[in-house]
Amino acid sequence: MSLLDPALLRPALLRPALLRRGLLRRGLVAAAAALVAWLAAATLAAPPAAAHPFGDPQTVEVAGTGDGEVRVRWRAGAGDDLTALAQHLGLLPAERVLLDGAVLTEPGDADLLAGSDALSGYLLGHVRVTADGRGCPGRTAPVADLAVDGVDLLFACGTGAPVGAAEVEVTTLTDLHPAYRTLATGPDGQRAAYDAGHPVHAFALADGTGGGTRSSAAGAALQMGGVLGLAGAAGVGGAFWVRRRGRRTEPTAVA
Amino acid sequence: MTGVPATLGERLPELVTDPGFVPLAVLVAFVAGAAHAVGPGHGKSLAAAYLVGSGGRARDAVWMAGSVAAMHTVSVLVLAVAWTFLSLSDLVRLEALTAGLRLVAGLLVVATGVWLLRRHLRAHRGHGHGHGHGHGHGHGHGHGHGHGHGHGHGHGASRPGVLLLGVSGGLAPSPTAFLLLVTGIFTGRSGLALVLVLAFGLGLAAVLLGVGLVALAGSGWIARAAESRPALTVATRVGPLVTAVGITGVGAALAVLSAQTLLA
Repeated sequence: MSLLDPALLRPALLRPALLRRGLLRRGLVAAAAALVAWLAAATLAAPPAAAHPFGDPQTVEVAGTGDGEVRVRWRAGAGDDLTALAQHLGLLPAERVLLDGAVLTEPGDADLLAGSDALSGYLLGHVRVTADGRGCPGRTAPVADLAVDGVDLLFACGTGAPVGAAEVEVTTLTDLHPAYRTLATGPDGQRAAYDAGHPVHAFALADGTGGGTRSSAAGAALQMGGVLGLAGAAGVGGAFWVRRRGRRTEPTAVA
Repeated sequence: MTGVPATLGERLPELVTDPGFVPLAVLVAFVAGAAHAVGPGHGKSLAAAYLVGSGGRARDAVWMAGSVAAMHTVSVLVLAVAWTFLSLSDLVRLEALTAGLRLVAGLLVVATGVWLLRRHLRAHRGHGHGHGHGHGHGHGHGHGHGHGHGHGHGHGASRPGVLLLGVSGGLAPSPTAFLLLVTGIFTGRSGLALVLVLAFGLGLAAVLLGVGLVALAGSGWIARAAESRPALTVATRVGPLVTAVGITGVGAALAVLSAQTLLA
């Protein structure tokens, strides 16, 4: 806007509007400048490739072995979870821990953890099985490839007869950070999600016994299909409404 | 690490296991999505640069934000279903898969940048009033406001370019949203979880839309100011070119970083 802008020659009563426009303009410029600075800082400070670490969640598979034992196969999920556990159990040398407490994952961490008795003790302390109200003593099977296969924990719950149902408690890694979750699968499509507030779930291990949440693919498809259908209908309805509104206002704008 | 409090995003799956008042849970998911978008990634810089460099309008910003939200939801849905029911992790680890998705996203950005560059160069090879960028013509001649705006805004950002960038922004899903949906499937509440993922995506889109609109407002002011300042006129003329080269460069950097992660 130049100094000879006719707008400036308008009566004084209109000046507040001009002032407001000037302030608005200055505000927009400041916002744009701040935005550019922020975007530049965000782009330079953290490469997007490292912005969202993404790994498999921690899992357990629960199954009855048919000879009075319950098998719980534990997998840590992402590789850095094994490193975090190794650090928690005091297996990493002090020089691996950075000044801010972070530890960078190294390829040998899983093997270091697998070869330690501390892992077995930790897992048996954080995975517990109860059947018929009695705790089942557990042991760990030899570990072949910790990162890929995980660890098999075997709990003796009976005297040779198959175990019908069991309550399985899982609190692994939640002592490191409360955000850790464990996704559990059992026989016949039973599924459960463990977190710090839900450490125990019941599983049916033999036919005809109750317990566990069965979340079938069909049930999930039905629920999610319904939501997607509603969202799609809302989107199409919204687009139709916007287009119709645009058509209605178009002649006015031209005039 | 014991006693470290979980962030809002990390606590999001609790909304599925203990939903409480569902509308409030949806609102929390929306806020978590917006908070997630404020962090690095999801192409905010690229979206703003593209909208400004290609003479985009508010409608283009809406399309871009909407396509990011839609792509993010689809991406989370496909990954969560494949991980739960098709044993995806037996085929490929999620770290590798998401690095691959980021590589594709980077290549899409490169494609958008190259296309934008080609469009700009073609417009200049033709004649002064060709189709193309929004702010160089008209203003550069120093006459006729209506003329200049008519050309710039009439052609603006192209829809395929806007959608391509949107798709690249939502292709690699947020781990939080993935865990939210998987938790929903595992607890038999997949419908609620998907609603929350949609709300999360809309929160993400709201931030992108805000960034796009602020960038457009700022560039609009600069274009108007340029009418009387030669230096700014030159800046608005070379701006789209710089934007196109910048977008291509950032896309290439994203692709290279993702390829490094894949090969590591």
